[in-house]
Amino acid sequence: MNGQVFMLKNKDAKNHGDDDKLRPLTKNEALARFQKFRKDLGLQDVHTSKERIKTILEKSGLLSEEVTKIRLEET
Amino acid sequence: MKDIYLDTNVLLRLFEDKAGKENAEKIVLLAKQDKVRLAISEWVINECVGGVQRKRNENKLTKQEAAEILTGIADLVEGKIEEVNLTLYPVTERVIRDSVTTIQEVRCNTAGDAIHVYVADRANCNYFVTADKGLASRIKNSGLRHKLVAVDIDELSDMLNFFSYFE
Repeated sequence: MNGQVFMLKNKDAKNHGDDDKLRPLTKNEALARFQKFRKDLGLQDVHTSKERIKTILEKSGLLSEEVTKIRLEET
Repeated sequence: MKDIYLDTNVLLRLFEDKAGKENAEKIVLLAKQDKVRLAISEWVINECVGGVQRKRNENKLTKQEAAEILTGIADLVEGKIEEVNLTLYPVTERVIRDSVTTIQEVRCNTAGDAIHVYVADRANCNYFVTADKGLASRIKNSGLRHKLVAVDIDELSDMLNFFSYFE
């Protein structure tokens, strides 16, 4: 019985095209995600500059050729 | 107006001093001029954290340096959300579940690639810009090629010129 109800709901949703296009986050939702990201990773009090980031990235090899390999090396 | 999806590696190029940075900045400029719309997925965040952690594990970054990089990336993306209305797509249960078929359709090397491609496709993006030549090639050879145009960041000039003059 429950299965039937579930199937009808899914069919109904498809007929109305509900599950075609993804919904993006609103600007406030997106900014809230980054606030949470900073909190979860303990970054709230970390400050830096673009130049400093560039130096660290170059030193670590995270940029340049390795940029394209990030996903491959993760797996 | 056309929608352009940016792969993680394109965003990271904004920190570079090389040719890739120039093209990445041109895309952002087009968005600033309201000639295109930009989109990324939340998966970008996970990939950046994963990449940084890998360097930590290899002892190539200190804890402080890792924190600074992640802060820099958050600053960059947040800034673009404010500056050019960069759209962020969430990685929902549906994205995880349904991108499974994308792995096979596009012959993705990783499940992460498929998440990016799936989100770009289902967000109705017109272009998928990446620094991963292999992924660009696989999208071009997949069934998605008719609705999602894959562009290698290093071969972006024609597309950028088109948008600069005609959009």
